[in-house]
Amino acid sequence: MARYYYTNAIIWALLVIATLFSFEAVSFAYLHQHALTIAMIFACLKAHLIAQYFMELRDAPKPWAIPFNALFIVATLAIAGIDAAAAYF
Amino acid sequence: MVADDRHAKLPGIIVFILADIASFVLFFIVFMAERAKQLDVFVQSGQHVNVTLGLINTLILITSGCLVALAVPSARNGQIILARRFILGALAVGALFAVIKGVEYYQKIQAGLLVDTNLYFTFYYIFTGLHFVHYVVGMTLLTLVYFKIKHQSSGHFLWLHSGALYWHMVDLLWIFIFPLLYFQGAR
Amino acid sequence: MDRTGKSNPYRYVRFCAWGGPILLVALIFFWGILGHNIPPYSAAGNADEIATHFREHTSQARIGMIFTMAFGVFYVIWGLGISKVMEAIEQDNNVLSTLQLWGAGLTTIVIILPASFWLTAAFRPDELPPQTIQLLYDAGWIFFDCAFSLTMLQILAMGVCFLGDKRAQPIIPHWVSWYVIWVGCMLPLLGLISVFKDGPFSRSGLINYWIEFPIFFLFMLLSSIYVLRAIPKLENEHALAN
Repeated sequence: MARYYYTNAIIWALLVIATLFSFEAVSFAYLHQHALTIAMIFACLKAHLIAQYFMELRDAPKPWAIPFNALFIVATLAIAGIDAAAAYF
Repeated sequence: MVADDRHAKLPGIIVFILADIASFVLFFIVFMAERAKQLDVFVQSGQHVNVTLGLINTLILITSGCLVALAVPSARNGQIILARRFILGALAVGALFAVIKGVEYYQKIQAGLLVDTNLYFTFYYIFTGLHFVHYVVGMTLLTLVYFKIKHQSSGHFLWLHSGALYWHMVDLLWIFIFPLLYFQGAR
Repeated sequence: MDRTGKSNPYRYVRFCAWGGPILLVALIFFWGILGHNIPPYSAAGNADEIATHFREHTSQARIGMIFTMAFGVFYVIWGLGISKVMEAIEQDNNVLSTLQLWGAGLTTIVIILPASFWLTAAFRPDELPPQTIQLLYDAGWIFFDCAFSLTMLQILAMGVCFLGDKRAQPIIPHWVSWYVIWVGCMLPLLGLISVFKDGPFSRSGLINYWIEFPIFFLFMLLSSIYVLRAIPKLENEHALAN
């Protein structure tokens, strides 16, 4: 169990830091116009950590991690892409 | 008692979870497409949501998910009492989510921001509402698991593992809904 | 004799299971194409648009809806076919297969009743004011989409039962069961058509039409295929048991 306490504590800390950091990034004036994109990139990283470590997909016998991570990346790219398109056109 | 090892086959619920996340991703794209048509309305409306409460709820779900993620290996090592403690902890932390969500909805309704105010709030209520339904199902599942694993009946580990995976889905969905709805105002 | 106590428990079941694909084809042709429901008229459009359609395509609308009503019964026939396969999976009692059959039987009404509203709209469209035609059209759609709980009952009972299969090689693969459950969980979104006149959640919108209907039709197709594949397996089991 000790291994799990250690791993989960680190992942939990990373998730909290990523959450707070994306929150802070949004408050910086010069990052405002990219706030949503930055927040989505952090969301994607957080989702990746949860899928790999909390859901233990990295240990799954079948490559379940691939479709999950693909969805996170598709969501992030689509949201950032539409946001950029909406801002420029 | 070793019920399972971490390299064992995942429960079938993983297909449901993947399909459910995929449908939410689709909803997010629909949201973004509708947002692009009336960017100003969405950005202005986004300033009326309480980012701090959303942030607290994110931290709550992350913490609750972390506890559930510890319950699974505990049960796998046969430490059922420990696993139940983690689930109880996850339930206790998770319950705060509903309290904060309630405060948030109350503030919105007091401010006259309702589902038909504009399209942003329509999405706000539908996304958070759908997520809340997932949350209630997840809390119910975890409560069931808490009682089921006590006697280590047949299939108790499958219930725990499925419930835990479901709970991580509730967490994952919120991680995307939070920036999408709450970081609109920053522009 | 097996535990059902019947000598030939799967007689007619194949026909019942074919009810699904038969209904699917009939719905696409009569309800979809002839009924002009791919996609339906938007709830945001005006009444004249709908009235003009019913006045100009009266015969087409009538044929479409009469046959939709006639074929609707295949839904409950299909439901019985599924029930018979479910009974072979159920261990403790027949609650889930009974709920599934009731859900399927009531869903038959969800096909037939709205079609009768649309048929009424096509009955004397020249004498009715456009708003009345629109009212009938709306009423049909609201019943069609907002009665989702009846179909949800069928689908969830079915998915839960199939997942409970204790065989080493389940009669219905678990991924199919989980797809079925997912479709069942997506149905409540249809209730939103009663609130939205346009946008993704309206009756002709991206989510409540272009996603909900294809995933539902795929559910009908997939479950028909796997129920039909299950029948020979069950006949074998039955033969071995005797």
